[in-house]
Amino acid sequence: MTEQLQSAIHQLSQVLLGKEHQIRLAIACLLAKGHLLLEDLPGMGKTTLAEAMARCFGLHFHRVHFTSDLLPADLTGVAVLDSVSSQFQFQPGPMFCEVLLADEINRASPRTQSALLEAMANGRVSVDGCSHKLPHPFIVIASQNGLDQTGTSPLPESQLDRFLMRLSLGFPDRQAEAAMLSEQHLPLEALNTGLSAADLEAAQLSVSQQHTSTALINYVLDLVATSRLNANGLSPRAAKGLLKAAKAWAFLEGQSSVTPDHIQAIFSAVAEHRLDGGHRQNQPLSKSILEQVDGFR
Amino acid sequence: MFLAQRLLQLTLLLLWAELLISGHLYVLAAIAIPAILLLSLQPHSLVRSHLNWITLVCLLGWTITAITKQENPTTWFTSLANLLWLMASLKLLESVQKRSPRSSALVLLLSIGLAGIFNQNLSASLLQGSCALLCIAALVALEAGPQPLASLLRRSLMLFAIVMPIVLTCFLLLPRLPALWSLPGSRASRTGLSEYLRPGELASLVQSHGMAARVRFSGPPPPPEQRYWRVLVHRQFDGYGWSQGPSLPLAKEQTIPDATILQQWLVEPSQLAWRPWSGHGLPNTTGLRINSGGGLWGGAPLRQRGSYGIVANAKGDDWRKLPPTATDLALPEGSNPRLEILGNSWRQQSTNPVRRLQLARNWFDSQPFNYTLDPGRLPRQSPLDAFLFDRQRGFCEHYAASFSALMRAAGVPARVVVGYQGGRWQQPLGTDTYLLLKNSDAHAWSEIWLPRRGWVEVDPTSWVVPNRVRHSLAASLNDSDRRLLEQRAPAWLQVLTNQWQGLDTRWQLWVMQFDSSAQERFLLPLLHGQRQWQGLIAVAAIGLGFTGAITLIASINHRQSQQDAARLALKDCLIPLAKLQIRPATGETLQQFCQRAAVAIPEQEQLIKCISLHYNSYRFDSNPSPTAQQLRRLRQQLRAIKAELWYYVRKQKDLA
Repeated sequence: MTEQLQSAIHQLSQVLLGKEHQIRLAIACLLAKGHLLLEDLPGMGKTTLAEAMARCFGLHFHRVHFTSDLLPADLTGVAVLDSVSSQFQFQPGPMFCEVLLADEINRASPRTQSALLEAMANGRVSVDGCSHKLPHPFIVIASQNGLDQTGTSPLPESQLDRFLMRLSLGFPDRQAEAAMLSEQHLPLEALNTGLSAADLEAAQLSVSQQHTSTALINYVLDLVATSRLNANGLSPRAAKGLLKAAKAWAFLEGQSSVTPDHIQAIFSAVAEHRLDGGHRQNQPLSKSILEQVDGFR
Repeated sequence: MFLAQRLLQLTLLLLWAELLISGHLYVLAAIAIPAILLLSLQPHSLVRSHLNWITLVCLLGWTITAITKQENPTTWFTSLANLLWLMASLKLLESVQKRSPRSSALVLLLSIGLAGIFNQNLSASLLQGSCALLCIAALVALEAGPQPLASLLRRSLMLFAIVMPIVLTCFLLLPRLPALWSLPGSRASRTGLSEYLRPGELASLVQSHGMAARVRFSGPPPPPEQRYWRVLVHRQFDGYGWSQGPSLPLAKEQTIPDATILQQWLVEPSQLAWRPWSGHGLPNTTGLRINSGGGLWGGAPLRQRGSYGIVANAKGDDWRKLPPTATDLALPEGSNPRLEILGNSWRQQSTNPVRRLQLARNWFDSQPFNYTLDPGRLPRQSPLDAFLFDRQRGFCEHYAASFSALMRAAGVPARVVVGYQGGRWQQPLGTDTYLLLKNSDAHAWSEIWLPRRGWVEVDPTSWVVPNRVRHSLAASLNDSDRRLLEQRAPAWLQVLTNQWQGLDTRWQLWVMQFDSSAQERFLLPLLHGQRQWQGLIAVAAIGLGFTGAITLIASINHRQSQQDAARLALKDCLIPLAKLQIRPATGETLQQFCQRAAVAIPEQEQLIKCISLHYNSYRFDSNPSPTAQQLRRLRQQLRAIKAELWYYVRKQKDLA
């Protein structure tokens, strides 16, 4: 399984040149059943990565471009009157898919953003008092522009906390950009990893069964406790997320045990957006926490 | 290491501060405190580089002092204690940069114990307790590595609590060894009553506010007019001052059947062998006897605070009936001629001693005497004449001395009694009220022999100033004299002082004075009189206490070591790398550290990577938790790696 995943990562990095680390993190996020937030400037390949992730596992995906006039019903769907049966019939919206690609999520109004909350946390949608179950797996891969871009409204902290990871791609290096310009990259449509949704589920199961020792849990607890000395402490959900993501990372590395190194590898991706509340800092807050807590366990 | 040093320095400072406050070695303490402070701020000072010489000078100084004072064996103990304090300080200064502050911590603990022998009041005991706590915390810091101060102190307190049962058992059950406990004191002679009463002496004594004694009453306290506490009885008059004269026979020591304790005394150290008491009843403490003059004789000067009870007994008044001797009438002829003439005139007017007393009182009432704290010096020649007929300004001893001399001239046996009169009534919260006697309550009065009534107390001072007896000394003085007596402390501080002294009294009576007789009183009812069980119970209880303490400590250690045995083994294994200045940074994981170390020492890359491999697989791989066998294997592996790393490090050093 790990080999297949490795080859998938290899292929993905052919699509998105020079971003292997981010791709690994994104895959780890998927394996940990977490939602992914991609934040960067326009044109950095956020949407490409999101779509590539969905295609990688052959998942059924919908892409919704969030705009300021997008309403919750546009996502969840509405009940319409069926002229034949004279009854209201629920018409599922684009949210009913395995991967929801929410483009530029911070352009939508807070009302629409919060419509995602229930779906992300519980995997179901309530419309007109009826609860509708979403397909399994259900993953939101959202992309957003930096907050300094015009016409954006920041995601509330409750929403941010539901994203397991926040990644930013950053500018590619010169070599990778040169390769891209000379069209040496794999087109998205040509991506064929041979992985299926069932493979993803199997991998998710193995990840959740990874053993975590008491020493490791103590390390996570210490990190979380240190973060809470400052204004935005990490929530228990974040602590759970740290452990899940670290398990996924260890699984990707083909290791049976999760060590503090794995925690450190995913820490900034999992913790930073919860620590800075969506406002990027010049000095990463997660880094200073890692430096305060004893890494020897 | 650093924290342990600081803790020990703090302990040393506290210890010196205690010595400074209590008056021991105050000169040395005044030098030592700033020296320690300075050295702790400036570790590379000139003093440390010359420490060997300083130690040598100190040792030489001590040796010379010891040899020159060797005629007094009691000072040997004190000087040995001083030497220990000195050496503990020097040892700590020396070990600031060197390896073993452990030994200085142990020496400090011993010094604290010694300080406990010299100073036993409550504040000193508390200070010594906190010193010991800090010392133990320093030892914990040395053994268990750096920790936050609060957790160090917590562990230190926990150790205290664990040994508390043993301490209590030893305190309650172990037989007291008198020879060990009566260690020679080193107190500088304190102000207090002295054996020779010269005019003007008490007037200067009452201006010092030192504490003299505390007394609790089981019944209602005596009214102010009867609060006369006798200490010394002066029978010999040499024309100038009074002294005790030839020693009087002592009454036999009596075993007192259980009787109610009238007064419980707690007396401050003094250079007198005589103890204060009311003149009624009998002492219930062994070693105390009443002499035929009515003095309570303790056998030796009181080096430490002492306590005793006075019980009601008719035999206690026997001394009042003992007839006077020739000494009680002796008056050096011609020493005070005018006094003799006056006394003789009374002798001729009446044969009845009571009538003579009345004449004396009338005479005192008729004269314009002035009661003052500042009587001026009396001439060596005929001092009492000068006081009675010329100056007429005096303090209580002037009145008592001249009245007794007048009575002797009038043919009535008389003597001077020196002691305390009055006292302050103290009512601390939560404890019993008691009467506090200070040096300022020192007083002198007379005793005359009346046929059929025996020795009767007469206080001529009360004729001159009735307020002195009924109220207080301050009430009987004029304004300028009162200023000499005034307490400078504000009222709230006095209230606090009262409370503290109350606690201190409790501490003294319950803990410090818990001697063999108190132990017997406590234990015998519990053992139903079966004394032979005491030893057995003591041994059993101490054994039980030790076993309990060791089990407790072991179980705590076991719990911690279970978690940390692997960490300790790892720490141990990384020592050779630390020798090459490769140390883990906080936040760094073992794997990252090993990678860094492998880059620094490429020759040992495989070996170093094995550390993280073995350790991580033990630590994080074992499911559900590592077994003892796995721990043993990890230890072996790490030990083997350490040995190889040592070998490499030594080789590198040899090459260098």
